[in-house]
Amino acid sequence: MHSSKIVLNHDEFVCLREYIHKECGIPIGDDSASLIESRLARLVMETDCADFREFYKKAKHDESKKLRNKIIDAMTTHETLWFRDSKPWDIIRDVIIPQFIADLKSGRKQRIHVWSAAASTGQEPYSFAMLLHEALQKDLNASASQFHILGTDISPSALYMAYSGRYNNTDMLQGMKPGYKERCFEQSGQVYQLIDTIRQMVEFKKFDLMRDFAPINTCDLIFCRNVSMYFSSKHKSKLYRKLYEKLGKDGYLIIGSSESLMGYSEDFEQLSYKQTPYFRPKKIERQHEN
Amino acid sequence: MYRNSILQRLNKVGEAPTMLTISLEIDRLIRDPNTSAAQIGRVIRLDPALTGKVLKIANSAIYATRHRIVSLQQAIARLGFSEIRRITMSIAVINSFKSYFVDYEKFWLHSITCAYLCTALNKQTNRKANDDELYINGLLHDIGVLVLDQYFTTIYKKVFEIAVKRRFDLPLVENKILGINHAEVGAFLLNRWKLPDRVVNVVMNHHQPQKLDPEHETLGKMVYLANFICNNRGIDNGSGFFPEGFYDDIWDELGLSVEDVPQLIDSVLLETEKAKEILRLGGL
Repeated sequence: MHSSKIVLNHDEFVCLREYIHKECGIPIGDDSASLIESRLARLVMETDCADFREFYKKAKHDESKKLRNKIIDAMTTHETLWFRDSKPWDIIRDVIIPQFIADLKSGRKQRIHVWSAAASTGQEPYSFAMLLHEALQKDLNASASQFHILGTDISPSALYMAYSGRYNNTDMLQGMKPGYKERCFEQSGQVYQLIDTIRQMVEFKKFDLMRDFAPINTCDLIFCRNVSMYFSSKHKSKLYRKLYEKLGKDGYLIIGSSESLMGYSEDFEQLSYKQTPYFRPKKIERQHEN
Repeated sequence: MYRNSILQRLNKVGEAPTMLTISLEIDRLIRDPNTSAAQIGRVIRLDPALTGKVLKIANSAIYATRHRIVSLQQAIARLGFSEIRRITMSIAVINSFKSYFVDYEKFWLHSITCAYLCTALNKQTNRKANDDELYINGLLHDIGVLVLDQYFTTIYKKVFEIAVKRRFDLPLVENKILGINHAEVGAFLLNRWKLPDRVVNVVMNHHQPQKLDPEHETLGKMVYLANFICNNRGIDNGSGFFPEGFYDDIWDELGLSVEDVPQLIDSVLLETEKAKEILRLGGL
């Protein structure tokens, strides 16, 4: 029997900060020692390391990059915010959802497929579901059953949390727009439970973005945000090509605010709303294909 | 650091409480295929309080028996050895530990639900682990929390409050302040009381399933996951702990898929109701 005392000292902080910035692409502030300590302590235990020094060495020499990805997961877990980046959600609310409802109303489309490709603990697909729910309450020309919202992730743990729709007050409600917390959640102690009306609008499945996209329906909207940091340049190009192939000819792609398609894909045309970019497949190329 | 003084004090803790000793004897007898219902009855009867509580639970809504059970013989015949073992073990454990600041009701609701959920997980994953062993492991996994509460109340109250207030993992705060955590403390005492290795090993590693001995892995992984599922539903041990997730590998190793989640959530809600009855009728 032994105990594990997982405390981060200054030297370890400096080493890990540099590693996380360089290898994971996540900048860490000078005053963020406690952030690293609280986010990575569990991983130190999981990897059987006695302390952060041993953990750092293990990460540095981990050629499989498995540990690096786990560090990214641990460091970014709480960044899966509601309405993340804020601005793309104006596009969703003002442009994309009205377009979808119009398409359903005119009969141009029978069903709308939305895919949150890296749904993590569910905030992204649920954010969409909340905006959609609100729009459908104002416009009765379409119903929630005409929308299929799919959230996928590679982590069973994240998917469990997503399905349960239960979120910690302080950590998980960051980014929440005014009014939604009151309308869409029931509070029970420190935990907020998403109401079933919203929760049941989203289906969750395990899916690895490195694999073949055959199981995924052709989509009208794909969120693929803050994923590319996990991919090499070559894999990024492949990923965007596969997303392009899964997107209907007038579908939309939303990527993360710090991501860019430049250098990885020429399949998409960039649109802009309130200075925020979003993408759809280039029409010319699609015509050739058809 | 408090580690050494805690271990020294635990070494001075006396023998296992009588009721717990009786339930362990029942556990041992039931493992023997030659044991009769009469033998089991005789051992239970050694403790009148235990006998009364067993009968109350046997007549509860959990088992919905048509006719009132008035004797231990009847209870054993109707419910079977396995259920009797679970009932006696639950009563023994919840009556053997005091709590000073830890919420007794919450703590035991968590542990009993976890015990039942372990057996539900066993069924759902078709792992064919021993349900009785799972139940005992689920029941005792957090026992170190009550041990620390009982014997080191003042300092442990501080530790507990920090974990609750700052929403840190309890074992991390325990390790930092005490140099030992409740998993280790529980395992240490249960080992001293000569509980089987499989119980000691699972209790010891219920937060670190990757450290389980290979022969106890299945039991330990189910306890680990049942613990997570309870905590996720707010059925926590009183620390208000809300987990951020679980080790993905465990999920895959138990052969679970996302499609299993709704059933698991239904299971935990169902098992909580059973646990409430056990606690109401068998508790202090």
